[in-house]
Amino acid sequence: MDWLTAFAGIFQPSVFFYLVIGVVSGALIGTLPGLTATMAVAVLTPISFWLPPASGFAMLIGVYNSAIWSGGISAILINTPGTPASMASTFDGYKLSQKGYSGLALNINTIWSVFGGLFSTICLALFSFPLARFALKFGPSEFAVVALFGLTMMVSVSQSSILKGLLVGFLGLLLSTVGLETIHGFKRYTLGMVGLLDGLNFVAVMIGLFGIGEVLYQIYMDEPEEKIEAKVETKRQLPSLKLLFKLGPYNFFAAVISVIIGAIPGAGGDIASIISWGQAKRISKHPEEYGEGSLEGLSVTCTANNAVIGGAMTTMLSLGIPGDAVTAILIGSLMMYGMTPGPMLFIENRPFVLTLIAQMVIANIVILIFGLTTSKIYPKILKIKKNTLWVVIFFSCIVGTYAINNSYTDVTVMAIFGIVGFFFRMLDLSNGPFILGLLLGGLLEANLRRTLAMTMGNYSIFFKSPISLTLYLIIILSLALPYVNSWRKKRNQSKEM
Amino acid sequence: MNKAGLVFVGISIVVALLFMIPAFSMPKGTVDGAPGPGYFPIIISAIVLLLSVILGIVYLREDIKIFKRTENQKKNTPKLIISMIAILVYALLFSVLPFIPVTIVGIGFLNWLYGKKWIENIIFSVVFTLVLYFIFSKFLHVML
Repeated sequence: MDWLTAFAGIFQPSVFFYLVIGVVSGALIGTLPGLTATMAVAVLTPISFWLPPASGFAMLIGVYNSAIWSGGISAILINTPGTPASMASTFDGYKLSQKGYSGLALNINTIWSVFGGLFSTICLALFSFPLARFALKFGPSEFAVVALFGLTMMVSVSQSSILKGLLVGFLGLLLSTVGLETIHGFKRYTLGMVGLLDGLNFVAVMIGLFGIGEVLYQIYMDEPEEKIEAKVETKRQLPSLKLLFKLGPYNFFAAVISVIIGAIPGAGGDIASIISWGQAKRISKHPEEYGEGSLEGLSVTCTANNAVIGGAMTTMLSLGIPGDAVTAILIGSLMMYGMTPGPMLFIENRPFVLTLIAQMVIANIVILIFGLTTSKIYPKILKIKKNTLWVVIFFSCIVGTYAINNSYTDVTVMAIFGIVGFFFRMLDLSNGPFILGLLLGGLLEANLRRTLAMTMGNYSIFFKSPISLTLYLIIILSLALPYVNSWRKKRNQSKEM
Repeated sequence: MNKAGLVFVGISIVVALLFMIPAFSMPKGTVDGAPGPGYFPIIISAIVLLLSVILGIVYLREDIKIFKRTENQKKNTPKLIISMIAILVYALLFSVLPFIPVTIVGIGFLNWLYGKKWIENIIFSVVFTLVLYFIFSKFLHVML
């Protein structure tokens, strides 16, 4: 009955309208190379705050799913991924386009992205509730360890250097201490500004880093525009049912891998699609076709991109830890609506959680219809000039950030972090660890101090509970895994030589 | 030596000290063992200091020039700096001047900077400002 109510709620005109707006905006932003799904969600988040939670989240869920799907469009048509998650779609997608199958490739992208999205939504519905029930057993000490677990992902999201990632992450943690602290309400580092009493506005920081910072980087790296040669074959190229069934097992396999990868904080669609492509190639009957325009190869990357979303949402909703940058913004949005992601969300706001899952399902169905009927317009979207987009993004970010709280402090914070974001890109520093630090700092500090207050300063409690010990084991494994992998790679290379 | 990296390390050290020094004068923990408000910032800023020193040593040994610019990037640098200043100026003016005129001028200026033709620029600046105004002020009831 709860589920029926949740699905029925989406078809209220105000909710469905914003979901469609989200899908269309996501398609536009995701198609354009350089504009990521994170940027799309960051730019539209301030608008969502002015809507009721169901409508606001319908828009954000629509944008998130759609931008990831549409990232594959430019990967197929011009060999440039629209979003980083679609990088692996260029391997076979562009080759198919060159062979005259762009229409077929675009439809494969739509159908299997939707499959990935729906599969991962089913996993979200199945696993988030038991996970949240389990997390209800957590006390402050366990939550402090969960936050620590989230923070260890600073290592895995540090793209180029672990040391740099750690430093940026701890800077994020340091900035999370700005504002009124949670235990005694003491003012810290507010510089006498009322606007900083609640701390740095997380969404403003994200809009700055991912919106303004990215555009500034594009301005600096800009090269004279090349004429984009993209066209979609005029005849309809819908894949046959026989072909879809043939591709099914590979895509099921890719979806399972990607949901698991998505649930791991820090690992996103780019990693999932490359791993899925590699694994599918390994088990394929025609591995020689991979990279030469294989439909199998393209379809698994499309499935993987969108299957990550459900995994990331599972961790975000049930534990309050972001699975990727977009879910980090969604946590900020939930908090702005007065809801804290984590196990209590499933008790205090159960109908909202169900609505959110239902929105994921409907968003994917809308993407399927929209994607299959609009493949001819994408070459036109790809002709939009970069400098027009820069101006649109700049001003949408500024006005949008102001709109969050009618606060000029937020606008200043956003502008400053826009410039910081540019220098992060130039210095090859990843935004991921910084965001994790900023987001999880409050959770870690509050639970750490609460636990110490309960135990009169005794630290041994952090090592007593079986849950904490299990979490420590996972932390050690996740920290050791990158080193083990690199050691195995080196050993295999030396064997081959 | 990686000079740009060392500048970042320097900034990190300054930020850590700016957080650490005031944290020492924050109220101490209670007698029951609960740590005070300075406890967490002191630990984190100490870790930032330590990581900065280690990264600083790595950068000193490196032989990379991160800001080595291509011809195109040299050409784009003024555009980048002016864009940064324009955003900061707009963010400041936005709070004191009426939204529509200041936004039309802001958009028009950046369009001019990025080389848009003037008729296209005027139309785009006016239309996009009105779109923003309509969405935020009339539709979402944000006070602009």
